Amino acid sequence: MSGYDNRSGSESEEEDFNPEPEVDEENMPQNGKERAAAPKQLATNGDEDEEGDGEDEENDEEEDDEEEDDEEDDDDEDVVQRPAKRRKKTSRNQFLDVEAEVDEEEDEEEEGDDDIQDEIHPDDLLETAGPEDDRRHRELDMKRQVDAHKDAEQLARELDEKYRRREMQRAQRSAAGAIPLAHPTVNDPSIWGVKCRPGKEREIIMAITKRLDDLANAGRPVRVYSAFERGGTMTGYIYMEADAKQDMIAVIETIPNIFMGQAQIPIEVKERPDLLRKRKRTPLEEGKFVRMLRPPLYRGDLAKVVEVHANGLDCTVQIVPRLDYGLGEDANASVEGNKRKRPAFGKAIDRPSQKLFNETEAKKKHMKNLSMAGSGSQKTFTYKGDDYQNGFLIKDVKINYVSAENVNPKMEEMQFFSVTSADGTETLDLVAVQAAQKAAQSGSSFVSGDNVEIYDGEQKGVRGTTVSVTGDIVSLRVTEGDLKGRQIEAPVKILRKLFREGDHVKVIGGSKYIDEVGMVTRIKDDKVTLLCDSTQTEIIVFSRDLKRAADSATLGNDSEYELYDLVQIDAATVGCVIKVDREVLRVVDQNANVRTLLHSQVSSIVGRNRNAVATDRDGSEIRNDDTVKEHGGEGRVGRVIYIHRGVLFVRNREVLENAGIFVVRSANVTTMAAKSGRAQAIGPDLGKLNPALQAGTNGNAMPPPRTFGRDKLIGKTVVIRKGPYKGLLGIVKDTMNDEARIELHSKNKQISVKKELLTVKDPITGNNMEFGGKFPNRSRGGYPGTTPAGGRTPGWGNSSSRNGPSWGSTPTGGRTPGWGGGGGGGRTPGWGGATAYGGDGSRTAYGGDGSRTAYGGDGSRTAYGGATAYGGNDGSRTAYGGGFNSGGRTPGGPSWGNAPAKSSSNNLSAPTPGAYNAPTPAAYSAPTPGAYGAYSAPTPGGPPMDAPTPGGNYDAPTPGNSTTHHPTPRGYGGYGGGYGATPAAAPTPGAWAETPWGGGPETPAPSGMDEDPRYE
Amino acid sequence: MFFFKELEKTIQLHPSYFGPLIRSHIHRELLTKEEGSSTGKFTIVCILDNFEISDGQVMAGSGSAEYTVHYKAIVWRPYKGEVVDGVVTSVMRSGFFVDCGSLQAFVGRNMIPGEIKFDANATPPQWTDNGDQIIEKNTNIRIKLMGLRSEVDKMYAIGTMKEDYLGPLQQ
Repeated sequence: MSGYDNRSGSESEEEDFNPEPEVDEENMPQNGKERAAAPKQLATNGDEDEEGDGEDEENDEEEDDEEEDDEEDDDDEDVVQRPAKRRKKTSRNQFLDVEAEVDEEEDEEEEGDDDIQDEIHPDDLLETAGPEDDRRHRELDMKRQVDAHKDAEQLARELDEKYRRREMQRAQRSAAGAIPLAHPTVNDPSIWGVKCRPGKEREIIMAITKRLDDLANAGRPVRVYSAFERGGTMTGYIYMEADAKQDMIAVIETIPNIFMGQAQIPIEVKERPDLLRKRKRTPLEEGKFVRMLRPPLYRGDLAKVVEVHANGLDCTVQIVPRLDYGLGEDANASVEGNKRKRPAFGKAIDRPSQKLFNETEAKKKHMKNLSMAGSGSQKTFTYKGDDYQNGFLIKDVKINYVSAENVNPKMEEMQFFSVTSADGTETLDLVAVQAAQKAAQSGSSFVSGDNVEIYDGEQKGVRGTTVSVTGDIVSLRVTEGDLKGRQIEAPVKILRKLFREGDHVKVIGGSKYIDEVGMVTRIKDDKVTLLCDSTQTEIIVFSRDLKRAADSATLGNDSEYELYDLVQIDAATVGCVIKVDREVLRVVDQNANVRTLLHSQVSSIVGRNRNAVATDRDGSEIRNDDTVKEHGGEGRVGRVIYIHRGVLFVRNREVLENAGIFVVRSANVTTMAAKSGRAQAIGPDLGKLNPALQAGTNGNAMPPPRTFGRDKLIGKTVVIRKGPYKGLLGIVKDTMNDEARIELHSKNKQISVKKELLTVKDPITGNNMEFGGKFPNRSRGGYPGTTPAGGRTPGWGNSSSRNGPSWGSTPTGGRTPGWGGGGGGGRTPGWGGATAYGGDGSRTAYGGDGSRTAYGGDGSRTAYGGATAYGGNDGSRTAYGGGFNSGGRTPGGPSWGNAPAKSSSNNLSAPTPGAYNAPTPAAYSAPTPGAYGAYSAPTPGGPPMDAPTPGGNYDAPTPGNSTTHHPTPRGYGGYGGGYGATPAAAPTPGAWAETPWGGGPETPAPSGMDEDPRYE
Repeated sequence: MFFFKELEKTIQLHPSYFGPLIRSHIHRELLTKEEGSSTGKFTIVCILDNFEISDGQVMAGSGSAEYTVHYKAIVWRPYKGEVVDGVVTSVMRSGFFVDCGSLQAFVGRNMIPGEIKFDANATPPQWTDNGDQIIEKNTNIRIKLMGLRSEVDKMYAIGTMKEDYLGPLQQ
């Protein structure tokens, strides 16, 4: 059949253009039903998977069917053979009112159709109007005659032939895989859109079907090929397929709800496929989030599907109601004034804000509209005809009133849908969130380089790495098995990603753990257990949601907050971020409560206050990065990462809870670090940098000075000043370091007492001996003066000469008033100076903070003749520590704030003066206590600078020194300031000034600081 | 696995070092800065004494000098599949952490043989088979590395105990 062939030709031309129309199940049955009128067609039309194709074939079939049905219309076939002619023409020819029909059609086509039909139309006109008409009639008659003469057998053969060819063709097509779709051409029957009452479409279709059945049963020709409606997408229209408008009208004419008054719209050929294209609708699932489209009040609102009804047309959704409880009502409106003006189309209506249903609000004005059922969590309110449960509006809507696409629920919206669990904590229904977010995600999760396995289909078990991804097709290079090296393609849905234990992977979607990075610890089927890097917890995700991760990745990098940020939650609350999620932060606040906050609920990052200081329960200073230990409780230990108003945010990496962060009050911890963390934090560690110091550590350039020979204290009669043996007299039998073994006069007993607690007495007179000058209470003062000092002085010389030329100056130092003084008498300003400095001054200054060690270590000891004088390392340090702490505690000490800097320079300074003649930055940068230290060590350093004359250094000088070197005063100032806060401190500067001249009592005052037992 | 590796390091030296002992300063600096450090790929265990120091270059602006030091060191690089010994640092229900020198490894619940169970009631909490295998803090343990992850200056691993000859070492 040429006609048919033609058609198939055109099909193949259009084949590539053709998108695959989807089957609209709703419409299918109707088509089927109509076709039921033609049984044969059903028989041939076995597979209807492709509607477009089916439709076209169906058209073909119906042509044929008609031929068969109306055997008498023999001319039919003739016309079909002519390619350019339309079939309706032929059927029309049988009737007498051909011209009239054509006229009508002309009108109608002028209305709508433009291109193809218009081209054909004149032809039709010609035919009908032209002289050929007669000829055609004659031809028809002849043909009919011929057919009539054909015997039935031949006819059967012809038909058989025809259909076999069709079958073959169909077989070919289906064999070809993707079946080229038959597109409607101008040769096919027209389709008209007919207006009808919205909502009655289905009913009408049923009526038409019935009518067609009736016609068929009555043996009358059915000239309508199909009738269908488009459901929700095109309400108010049904579509009829027929050759002639008249045929179509004849069928629908008396069917109710069809608006015959309005013209039927012919559908253009190229639009016809669209009529049967199914709009892809994301299937609704219970628990899924959707967006409301209607009613306008809730347009765009997030809703949760509670139930999808069995009919597939309705669903129950849960919406956060927008109610004004009658507040917006016009109280004066007349009761019967129900007719309300419809708001202008598209105009945004002023709608109440989203709020959960409130019973009391509803009762206020609308008691009569409110009824209640159930109890407890099942309590349901019916308010103005709507049901409310748990504050939500439970509404039955048509599924086309909601949209499941591009839902992208925001966290703010989701809050309403959070689930309150039994213990009262609110948790978001993450499953639903994920489902919603998953729906929002599109695109393949496969990227090239993934290891994948085909787990379904014929190629099941094939493994390879992905090479490229095109839409849903992944091409992979097989890495194992027979196909190794081959590149094959597979649809995404039968692929799963392969991971091995120990792989470092990132969660890329589909679960609430999105963006987590971790290492695979276990793989079972397609479920992968991984250990998160960030939280050190194990999570289970599907392998398809994973991808191989770079070695390290950050979590939630789209957040402006980072793990361990200190953030301001509200005016009075701060918190430390312990987890950053895409939408929420988990924060442990200053009261140790863990909160989950939206990013938007956090106002700002507070950041770290470098100067923040807190005191522990012992009054020691705590700064950031100090290690503290909780007192009592769990005894947790950790490093302070933030100090906020007496609250410490402490981090312990070993603790998994709250990402290792815990919150304690500063008064509830003890600081563990002897050296505060801040000393390391600031600037280059010049202590390390200074070679002179290194010499000390590396070699033995500056060992703690030894006392040579017999300790002069041995054999002396002493009185113990403090402790349980206070006041007892005894004889020193032996000494070691800072302790002396004393044989008591009163008891036959030897006890060990710290040297500094001893006062040397004249065994005969009982008078205090000047064992260190005028400072009987300062054993230190005494010692250097006599024994140890002697030992030490050479020590100086020794060490200096060993150390280098710098120490050459030391002799000067030795000569300095300080030393001279030391030798001469406790009163000497030198010693006074030293005392002042050394007692507190120097220590304090040096001590700064960090420097304590350095100080205690070499510098100070060396400079001062050592531990002995100070009563030992710990002694000095302790004393110092006390003083320092008290100073440090006073927040006002800006000088202390600088302390670290000083301290480091300080380290330098002590030794530097020697080595570098104070040219080192230390001596200069000395604006610091360190500098100050440089001074006091100074005895070496200072003098060379100024005047080596003892006198010069002696008198005004010491202060003079300091003034000359501007840094020094500052150092002092700082020092004074630091102490200023403590009562004892006030006198300090004074004491300092005085001491040289013998302010005996004062000296201890600053140094004593109450906490130093040795200075009593 | 241990390797003998040639490495290079740029050292900046404060001016106060400039002097006859400069070489020893650099050496010291090298030792303190490098020994025991982890590059993320390996840990430097020990630096050998002979090393070459380039000519120093004073850096504009700071006065410090920059030296490039070539040295040889014994480095340790953990590999996937390597069996290592370590010390348990923390024990949890989900597994335990092991310090293997500079490498921190986690042995997850799934990587622990089935007969060894977590006992939260013991003090300290432990994993035990109620026999002679007890894994608590400070236990010496032998594990096999299953995966490695390196960060800039630290390495992490997950390990398994589910093979023969792995597990707590008898003390």
